[in-house]
Amino acid sequence: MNYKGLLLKAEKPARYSGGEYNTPDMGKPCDVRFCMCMPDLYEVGMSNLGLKILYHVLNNKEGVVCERCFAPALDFRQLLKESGMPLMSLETKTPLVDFDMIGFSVQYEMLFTGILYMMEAAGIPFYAKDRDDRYPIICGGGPVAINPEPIADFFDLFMVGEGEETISALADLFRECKKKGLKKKDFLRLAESIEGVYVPSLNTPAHRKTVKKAVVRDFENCFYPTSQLMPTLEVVHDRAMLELYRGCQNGCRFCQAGYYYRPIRFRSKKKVVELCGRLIRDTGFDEISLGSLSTGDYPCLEEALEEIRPIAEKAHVNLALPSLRLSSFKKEFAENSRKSSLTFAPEAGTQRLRNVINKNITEEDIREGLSAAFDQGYTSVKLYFMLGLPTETDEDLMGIVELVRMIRRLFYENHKGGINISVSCSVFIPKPGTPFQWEKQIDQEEMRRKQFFLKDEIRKVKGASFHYHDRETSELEAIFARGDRALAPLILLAYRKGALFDSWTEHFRYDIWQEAMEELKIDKEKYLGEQPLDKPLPWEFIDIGVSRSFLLKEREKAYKAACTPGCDKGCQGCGATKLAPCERVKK
Amino acid sequence: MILVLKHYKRGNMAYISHIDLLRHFTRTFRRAGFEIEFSSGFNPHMLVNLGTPLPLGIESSSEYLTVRTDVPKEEFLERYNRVAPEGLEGIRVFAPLVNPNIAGRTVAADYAVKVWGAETVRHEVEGIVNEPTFLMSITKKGETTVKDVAPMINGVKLYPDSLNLCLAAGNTTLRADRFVECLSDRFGFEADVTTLWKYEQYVRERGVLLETDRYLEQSEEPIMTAEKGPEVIALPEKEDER
Repeated sequence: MNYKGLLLKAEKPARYSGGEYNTPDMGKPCDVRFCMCMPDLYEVGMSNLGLKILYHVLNNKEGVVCERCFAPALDFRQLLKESGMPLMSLETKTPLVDFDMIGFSVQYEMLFTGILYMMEAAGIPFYAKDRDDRYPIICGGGPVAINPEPIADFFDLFMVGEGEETISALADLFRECKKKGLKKKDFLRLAESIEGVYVPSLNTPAHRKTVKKAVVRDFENCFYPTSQLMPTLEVVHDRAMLELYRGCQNGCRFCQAGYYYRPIRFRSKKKVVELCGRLIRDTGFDEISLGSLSTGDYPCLEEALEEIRPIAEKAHVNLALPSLRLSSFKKEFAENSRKSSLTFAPEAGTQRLRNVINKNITEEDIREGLSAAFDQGYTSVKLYFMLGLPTETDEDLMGIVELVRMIRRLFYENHKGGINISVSCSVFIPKPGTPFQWEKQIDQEEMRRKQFFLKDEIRKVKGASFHYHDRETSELEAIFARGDRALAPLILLAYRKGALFDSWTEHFRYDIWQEAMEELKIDKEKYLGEQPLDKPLPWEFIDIGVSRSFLLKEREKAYKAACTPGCDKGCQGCGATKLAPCERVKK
Repeated sequence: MILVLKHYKRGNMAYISHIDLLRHFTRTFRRAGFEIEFSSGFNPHMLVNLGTPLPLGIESSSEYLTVRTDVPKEEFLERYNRVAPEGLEGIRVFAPLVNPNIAGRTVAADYAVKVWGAETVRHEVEGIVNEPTFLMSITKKGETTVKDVAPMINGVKLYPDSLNLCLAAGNTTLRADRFVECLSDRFGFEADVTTLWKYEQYVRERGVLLETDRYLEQSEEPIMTAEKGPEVIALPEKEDER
């Protein structure tokens, strides 16, 4: 059977057909062929902004062609297997093994098995040490590169930090090495000198070298694709995305992104407006999202919106403002958006605990923001909390219930009808690069007690509903987030036993992971428990700019429930300015 | 003003589902800078009507969609094609005076598919048009049913390397891919369903099949519209289709 025949039998053939509008020229003369992979389905992978940026960065380079490949759904994997076909790129249907370089963008820990799944489907040996020069260079990147150790043995190199410049430099180096007829190991040795590149085979726990995270210094003028690929079928985030700025001024102590993407760099209003116009014209999306880690903190949001709104309205394009902090939820932002549901994340139920995590939001902020929202006609509120935070007690849990009751009362002060309050509780995962990177994760028994306690209490409030995250998935995520190289065999064994698509509840098999841990005698407590302060953590060879002393200071302040003001109130000295100037400080 | 765009659905675009197809058009129209009328309501959307759904994987040079817009007919095609995805290129534009209701009025379509070794059974294959019944088993979501599809077969013609079919399409549809597979099983010839191509589409007008292009040409003329209306025609079913 040919590929077309396979597509006819696939559940959603458009996942594998390629042919998206705005696909760059694949036939241009080139000496470096790169395949960008994401160990997730097309619908998820095509929603990722980082992938879009890097894809177009590479294709804009002379002599470089970049294609894509996503994890095939189980039905298509089976079809490939039956017909003896390997995994191929979307654009030119080239087998993955025939590329010069393959890049896996790994968004989070639960996708690890997906990497092996794709490698196997492509006929690529899992361990880097088992791949000779015939195989492509396998690169990794994305947020998990802050601690790549659990998957380090599978990769030839990682790109740590922001990839735009690193990936371009790697492609150049590859071309040079190819011309000179150098081997893979020579290429890897040379690649180590590129900022942000980590080569696990040359940088081992026994012989550590520091790897500095790459950051884009001139964010204002760095390349941003406006002719973005138009997905063939409906994807998770089916809209044009514009990145307003990088970094975050708030310093919530649990938030990895908040520390990892420092220092703060803004796009000017002029640039944002220009890019918006081009995005609308070049993509035709009916929605454009002005994204960042905290969009309400963008200094010229209001002025920019004033100019963008007429452009968007004329083209019937909806403006989406995700990640608005409640304190920045002002009338004018919401005025033109549809009045459906309002989502915000207090993260903790009491002021004390909010101070511990440095979520600088007060009950007064919540009151004010919600009153304004109710006056505009909102009747549905979604609240996000985290359970198992450091120092958390039952009083803090009751605080969540009190908050829900308060919101209900607030609504009925001036409004009639019904209100929906949905409470969602995730499980706290101590993440590398944050002041909480040494904290323990609460065990499953205690987490279960907390979840059921809240479930019972919130059930008593009329109009409120309660949802909570799966404990087992969160535990595994915590193990991998702070994992070391001893976990690679675990990932492989679990995959062999059938673990795959672990981020989907219907596919997640905790029993497989448990069984694999027992077989390999891996003690999960080593990863879940409190980490020692006197020894370097497995990922501390990666320099994210924020200093260890700053993280430790923040940790001490957390125990005292003391807040650290946002970077807009003055520089707090996190250390990230050594990588690039922080623009928040200037303004 | 109402415009009808006749377009391809071929290459990679053959794998786009009907619902996703709509999204591709609204995005293409936005890129083209067209002012298309929007619905009012909570979720305003572009007023675009697609034609009869085409089963996934079948290519076509005979698809039609209807829009309400002020873009002049003469400009529409060129501006559309400049920003259209490869595989959804426009072929022709019509400006009917009333809504032609193509999806509702379509009754049949012509398909062609590559075949081998059918020459020896030509007589039997072409003869099925005259059979009073033609039983075909249809498997949907794991459930198999047997159905008499004879009323849905309008024509079968065998050429040296291709089989051409005229089958019911519209409110009742006989899926060309399934029908081809059924024929190739029953008569023992080889067919490559990946080459299935839809090249013509019909409405029923005064009891006979009329090519959609002709139908749309007629509906562009003011004199015809007065006596014509979608509900005027109510004619006996089966004999006429044959």
